[in-house]
Amino acid sequence: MNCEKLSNPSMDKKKKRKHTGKKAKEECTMEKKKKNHKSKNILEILPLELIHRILLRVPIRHLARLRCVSKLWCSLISDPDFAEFHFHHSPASTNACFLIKYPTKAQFVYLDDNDASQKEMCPPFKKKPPSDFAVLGSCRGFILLYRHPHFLVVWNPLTGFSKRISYSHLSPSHKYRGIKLPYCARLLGFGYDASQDDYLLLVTWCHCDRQYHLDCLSLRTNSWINLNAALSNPFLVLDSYSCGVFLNGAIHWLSFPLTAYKDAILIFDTKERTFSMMSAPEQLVMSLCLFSGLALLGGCLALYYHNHGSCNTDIWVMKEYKVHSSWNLYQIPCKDFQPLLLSSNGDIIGRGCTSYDKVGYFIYNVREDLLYRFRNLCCPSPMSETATVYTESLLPFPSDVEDKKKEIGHQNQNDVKQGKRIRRE
Amino acid sequence: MSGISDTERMITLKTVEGTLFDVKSSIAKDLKTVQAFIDDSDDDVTSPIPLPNVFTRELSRILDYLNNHHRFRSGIEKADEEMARYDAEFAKSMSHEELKALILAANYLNVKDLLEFLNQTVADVIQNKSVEFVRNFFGIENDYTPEEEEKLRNENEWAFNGVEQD
Repeated sequence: MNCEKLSNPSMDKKKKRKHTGKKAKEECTMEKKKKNHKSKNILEILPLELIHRILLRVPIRHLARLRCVSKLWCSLISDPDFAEFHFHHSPASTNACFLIKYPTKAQFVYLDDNDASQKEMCPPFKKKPPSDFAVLGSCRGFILLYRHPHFLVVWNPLTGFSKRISYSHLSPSHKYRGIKLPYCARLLGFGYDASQDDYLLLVTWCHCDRQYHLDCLSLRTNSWINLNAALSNPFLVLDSYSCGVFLNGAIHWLSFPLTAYKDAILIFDTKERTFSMMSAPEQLVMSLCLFSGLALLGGCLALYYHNHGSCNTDIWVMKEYKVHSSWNLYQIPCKDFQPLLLSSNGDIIGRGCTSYDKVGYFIYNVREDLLYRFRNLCCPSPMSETATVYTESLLPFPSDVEDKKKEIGHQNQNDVKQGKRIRRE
Repeated sequence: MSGISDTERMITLKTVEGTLFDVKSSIAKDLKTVQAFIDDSDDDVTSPIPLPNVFTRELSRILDYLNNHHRFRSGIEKADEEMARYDAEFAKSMSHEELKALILAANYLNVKDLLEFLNQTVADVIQNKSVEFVRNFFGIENDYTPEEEEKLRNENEWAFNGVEQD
């Protein structure tokens, strides 16, 4: 097939010579003849590079299905590099999804302004329906579920991947006698370390001797690091069902309770494995801030709370990361608003209560200062049902075991070529 | 740096069918392939530049798009809404065959903004459509056996709900 290559002026100097002279005329007539052919020709088939670019603009949840188009498309879409590129370059607003427990299934709510829909899926537990579970958080398309009372599950609904993390994993250095389930363990954070291609879980413990411990589990290697030294008071954050907000290689939490604007935000750098603090806007009046939380809006960290004084919900968005002066205030005329994500044109989408105390999904038009409701979506009440906003992806989960298998696979291939015996794991 | 004389210069382009188009050099700058050719030439380009892979219908549409966008950009503030409306009409006015032909032409001529807009348009068209529709659109042969395809569909079963029928 004669593929049309992307014209890159700096590379295609030779090609341009064709524009002049007899050769161009010959090609003109050749192209004309081809066009008259009713069958497929280069003028009807888009080259792979263009298809690649088009697919990068299709929301990832539709791409899972389009793997069936052909084997070439399947390998293109299933390629981990494509998934990574799509995750970073496709606008997050078209790939964001709100996931909420409903009540024995997981409900996926798509809140695009022109494509509001929802669907349910069973979470990947062996026993169906599950007795009880909670949605803790998410990171890069992987959702963290808590399955009472035994274990955690990491799940990517688009690829179908799931990995169980049992509590026996969660007590490495602390041997409890007779107590198998450390009910006083609390999950703090779920994040990604790009330098190691690894996902991390932060867990706090209350030991028998009332000592607090902070441990970090690497999900790739299944190994633990103790972080007691890194943070003096791990119970600074006590939000019962939340894993913080993952942004720019760090996990962010809002200190609880919110007593002062200074150092109100705790940050864990997943690469350096260190903690730091950041201040909230000084305009905050602590006594008026109820039900505060952190969110990710349009790739920016946002701090929100119910303003007890004005009966609005105040949302402070940090437009430039770690630049204190870049906090911008938005006031939503709804007293129980929970911001979820930003639409493609900058409107704030979230959950809230109507004046009749009905829970619904709303979109706040920033320019017009008006709140609209998504009429065709039903929102489970109460608002306290566990949920998370996540960006869908087809990213693979890193695993040392899988990587070793691949390594052995490659070595076997080479050995076969050289006539050697094949190694088994 | 000569400013005024540049914008007044006209470049002539010739399509496959032999139709000639006179284009302002400021517009020609957006046709990066053409611009590179001009930059490469030692002398001033006076004779028509032949475009062996571009047809009249496509070049006409591309120039229409570029002319309008230049007009919107240099005009008054409200241009954003007008531009969005123009873009929507532009996309709607084409059949799928014409859309594909235009993408190929825009790709060959390396018209960056238009190409991105067209890619987005196609992405919007195909995202909720069935696998068969997408195959027809791109002219792709199904190289899966029925058994393989069945297996793949089952693995992604939930993803097939809510898809528009052809």
